[in-house]
Amino acid sequence: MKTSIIMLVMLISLGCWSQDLIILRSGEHIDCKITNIDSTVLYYNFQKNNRILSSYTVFEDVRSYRIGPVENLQIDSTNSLNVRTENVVVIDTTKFLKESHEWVNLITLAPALGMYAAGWTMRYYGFSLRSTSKWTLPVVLSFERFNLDRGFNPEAYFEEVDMQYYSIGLNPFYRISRMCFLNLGFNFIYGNEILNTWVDSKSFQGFAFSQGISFIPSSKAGIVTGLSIYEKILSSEVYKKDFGVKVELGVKF
Amino acid sequence: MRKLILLSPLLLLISCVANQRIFYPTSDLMAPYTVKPVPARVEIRILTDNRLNIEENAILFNNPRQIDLEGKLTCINSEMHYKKDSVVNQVTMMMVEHFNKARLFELSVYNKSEHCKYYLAGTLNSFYGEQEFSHGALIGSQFGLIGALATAGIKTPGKIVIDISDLKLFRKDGTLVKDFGSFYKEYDEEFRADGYCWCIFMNTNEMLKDFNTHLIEKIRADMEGVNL
Repeated sequence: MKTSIIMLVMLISLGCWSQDLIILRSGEHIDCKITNIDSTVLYYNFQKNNRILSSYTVFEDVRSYRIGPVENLQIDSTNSLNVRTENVVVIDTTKFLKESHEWVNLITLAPALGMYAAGWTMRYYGFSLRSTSKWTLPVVLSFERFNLDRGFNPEAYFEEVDMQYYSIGLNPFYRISRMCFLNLGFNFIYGNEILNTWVDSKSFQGFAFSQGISFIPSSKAGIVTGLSIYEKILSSEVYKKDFGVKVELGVKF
Repeated sequence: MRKLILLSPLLLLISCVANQRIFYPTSDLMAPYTVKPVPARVEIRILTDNRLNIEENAILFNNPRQIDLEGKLTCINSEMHYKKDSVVNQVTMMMVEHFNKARLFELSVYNKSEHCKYYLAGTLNSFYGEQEFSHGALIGSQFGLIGALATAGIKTPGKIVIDISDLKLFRKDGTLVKDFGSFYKEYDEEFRADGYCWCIFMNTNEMLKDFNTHLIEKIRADMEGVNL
């Protein structure tokens, strides 16, 4: 009889002991007794395999917590972001998620195959990748070289053409997932061309667009791959338009 | 000379097997001088090793670092790969270094010292790490630098459990000053992976650093108002 009473008291005390609840952002529920709360960490006692253990969780991982009757609880009074509703405290986790940003360098080489010209492009991208923004606008420096297909414009009377152009524009990345980015391009082209039938060079302008997918690893260094399509419209006498595919391969460092 | 030649393969084998250290850099853990330490010089006694009495830890003692666990190839921080110095010795030494850097006590000393008036004792119940093996990382490691670069960011799910209990501060005469109870943390997340299962040792060390950081804050909070 005495043993039964003692067991009953122990069972009741264990049941009453776990009166608080922590819900993690992962969905996990922790039945516990919260012992201390500071500005970044929540300390609690919980039961596992008949042992009472002390542990902790950082606020970044907490969605909300519920406190039973307040006993020996020390609350950081400077923490004013929490909203109390009937003992349930919902954590504003945006405060605890620290914005991270890293500077990323990419160097890529992309063979290009177009309807009227084939060649390659070497590019450097430099950009700041922020955890709080899906868009990023890189600094891009590129060097391009291509060969025109003589058969594309049989009416053009030339044997040689020397073309050089510069382009300026926007090449934003849009983050689709941890490693996958939408790679867009919009560039204004200005250049000069000289045909063997001309005395002077002639300038031309145009636009170049591209749309593609790039795979950039999340580690500090790694292999970068990408696939894109491009379109060019130019006022050149020789190379008026093009449409092609680029396969990009490079390194991140 | 002949004995030395005959024994050398055995010596090489031992050096290849037991080659992991429980260590993490502490240079970034320096607390500013404005942090007031607990005014006590404390011996941090070598933790009592209770890991064999916890069922979950059994696989660490009888298996290599790569095993088949519930049908999945898994990396574990197998006991056979820790240096000859025991796990409890190494964990205790890291605690001492971390406590000193964080200015928890006026001075923390490893094991015993005649200059200390207090000692901290505890029991290590778990220093357990498991992580899914990464086939991608193994393949990448076969392709030299390019492969290593391509697979540098691979992570796999794992679990690391660190459990210290019966943590108590005593005076040298045996009088109990403060009972800190237990401190337990289970890390269930994705950890960096490699192709040879050495990663789990590094990841466990990293989590020990986090564990000790929070243990220090718990001890600091619990010592407030305690008369020494």
